[in-house]
Amino acid sequence: MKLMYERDLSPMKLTSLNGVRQNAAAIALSKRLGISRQRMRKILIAKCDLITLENLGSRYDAAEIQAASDEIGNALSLHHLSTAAGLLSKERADHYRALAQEKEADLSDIRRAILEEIS
Amino acid sequence: MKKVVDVSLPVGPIHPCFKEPCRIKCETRGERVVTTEVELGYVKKGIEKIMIGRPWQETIFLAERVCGICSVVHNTVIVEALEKISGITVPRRAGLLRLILNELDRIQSHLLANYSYCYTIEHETLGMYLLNLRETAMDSLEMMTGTRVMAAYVVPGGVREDLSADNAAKILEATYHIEAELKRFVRMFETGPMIGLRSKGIGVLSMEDALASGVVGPTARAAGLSRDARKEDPLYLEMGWHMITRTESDNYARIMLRFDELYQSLTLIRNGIAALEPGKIRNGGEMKAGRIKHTIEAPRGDLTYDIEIDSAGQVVFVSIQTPSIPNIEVATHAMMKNLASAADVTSTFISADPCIACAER
Amino acid sequence: MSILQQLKNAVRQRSIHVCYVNTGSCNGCDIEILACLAPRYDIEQYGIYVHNNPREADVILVTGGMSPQWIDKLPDLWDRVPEPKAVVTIGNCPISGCVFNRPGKLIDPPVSKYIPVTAAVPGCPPRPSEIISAILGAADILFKDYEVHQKEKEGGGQS
Ligand code: SF4
Repeated sequence: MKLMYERDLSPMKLTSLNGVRQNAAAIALSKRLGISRQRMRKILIAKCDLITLENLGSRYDAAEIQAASDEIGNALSLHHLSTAAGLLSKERADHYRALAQEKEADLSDIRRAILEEIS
Repeated sequence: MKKVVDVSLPVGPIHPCFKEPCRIKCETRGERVVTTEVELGYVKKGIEKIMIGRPWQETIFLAERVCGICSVVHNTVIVEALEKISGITVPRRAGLLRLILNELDRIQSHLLANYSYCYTIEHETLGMYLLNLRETAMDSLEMMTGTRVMAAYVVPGGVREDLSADNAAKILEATYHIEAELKRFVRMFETGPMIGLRSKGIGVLSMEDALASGVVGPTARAAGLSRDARKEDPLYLEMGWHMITRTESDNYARIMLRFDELYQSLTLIRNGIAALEPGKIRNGGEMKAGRIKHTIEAPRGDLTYDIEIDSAGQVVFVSIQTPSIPNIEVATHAMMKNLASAADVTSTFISADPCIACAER
Repeated sequence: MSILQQLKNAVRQRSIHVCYVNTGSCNGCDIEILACLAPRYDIEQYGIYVHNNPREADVILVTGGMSPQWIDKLPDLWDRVPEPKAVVTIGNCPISGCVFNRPGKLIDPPVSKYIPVTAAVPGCPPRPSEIISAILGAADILFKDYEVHQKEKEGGGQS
């Protein structure tokens, strides 16, 4: 059967990500995670739907406000990944937060684990 | 997005309830909606890309055509941004005429939104009453500007045409007519038991989600957030504007909030007409280069234009942040989470007053 | 003319089902179509029903200037509409692309490149009364004696 509506939306998503505000938010996210802009875009296109991408700008701003009063969340970009982009679920974010608090762990290790999970 | 369950129910893109094409994919477990995903791109026109490199005179018309429902407010915001760049002042009479026009636009937009909701919950009678009432507002708009939609009434330095005392009296009469009719319809909506069943407690937006998504406009005010760009406008404050909020944050609250705002808009129009004094309606000036970010309250929420023009009068950068983007996002991802019935998907979506043409530009 | 044909004509004249497809418009034309529904213009008194369901439509109203997503879907949708059928385009967008037909555009007008268009209503946007008169005018010509014309066409093809 020919499916009329189920098709690859990546070009459309890329057009959305090229919007001024969306692009700025994607670049800021990639800087936070320390990865290239292209890789960040690939992750976003694979994991988010179109309207999340369109709204990335204002969600990123809201996450910045939340992160300002939360040191660990800010260091691990937990708010940016869970509330802003929806790449991490709430439970997983809490899990990583607990890990970071627990045993004075190396934050870079946790960061690497997070990056692995989202990509 | 990950597949949670294997029954996925697509709604759209051509759907009896939608005015515009948009596709909502709902993952359902039984009747319960678990997650939703939105597919857009059916009306993407790339207006921002078209605007870049064009003289500012043309961008005014392009901006109007971002959205046909609220064309007046797009026109106003880009003209005010251009005026701010060049330091052009507006005569008081023109400012008041702009206010009256914007409130008339808000009235027709809110009536259309509430009509769509009533139509979606299958209360067609009330919907048709509201649609008929909207024609009265459209008549006033036509009387003022000369056409129903896409009027290009607001021009740099003032407005295009004056409002005669005759027409002002007719608009005043129309506001009284709308108010008298509206009272009846609001009572019908408030007391209708079936409407209450299909609206109360459905599509609730929690405070946490509202804050995280940057929701604006009536959707935000129905959730108890006082977000309204009009609170910084001295002219609006002078005309007796005040913030209206509700706390229930369900479908019912959003529609009732729009009804409340309609009453307020009618009062603002009356106060505006009363404050009109004879005088100039347009000032002159010269366009200068510069960049500005200007926000105004559209019927659906904060509308921001970030625009830069160079010394030749060409637009070199523009970014349009429309209110529908966060509103649609929050409607599909937060309000529809754990909806008890798949039948409520469309009504919840429409209650946030989505405008796909705005969201995609 | 057979009685059956007369019956069909009478029925079709009073029941025209309309579906509107937004292929990248600015909403201006769509709300003018919606305004036709209002008791002021009362489109249903002419026997025109707006259902927005392509599978039971007779007349398709197309607004907008063909955004990339629609290019393969609109012909598909057109195939699903039962005969007899017609397309009426509303506004300047489907004809020329209106203001959006500029360098850097995403849309690809005109619509008549993709599906056969019967009538076009220019205007940005046209008034509701113009939309109603266009639908009524097109429907009269198309649906009257549809089977007779169809047979004539087939006969003409064979000889
Ligand atoms: S013709 Fe004008 S009003 Fe109609 S969709 Fe195109 S731009 Fe909008």
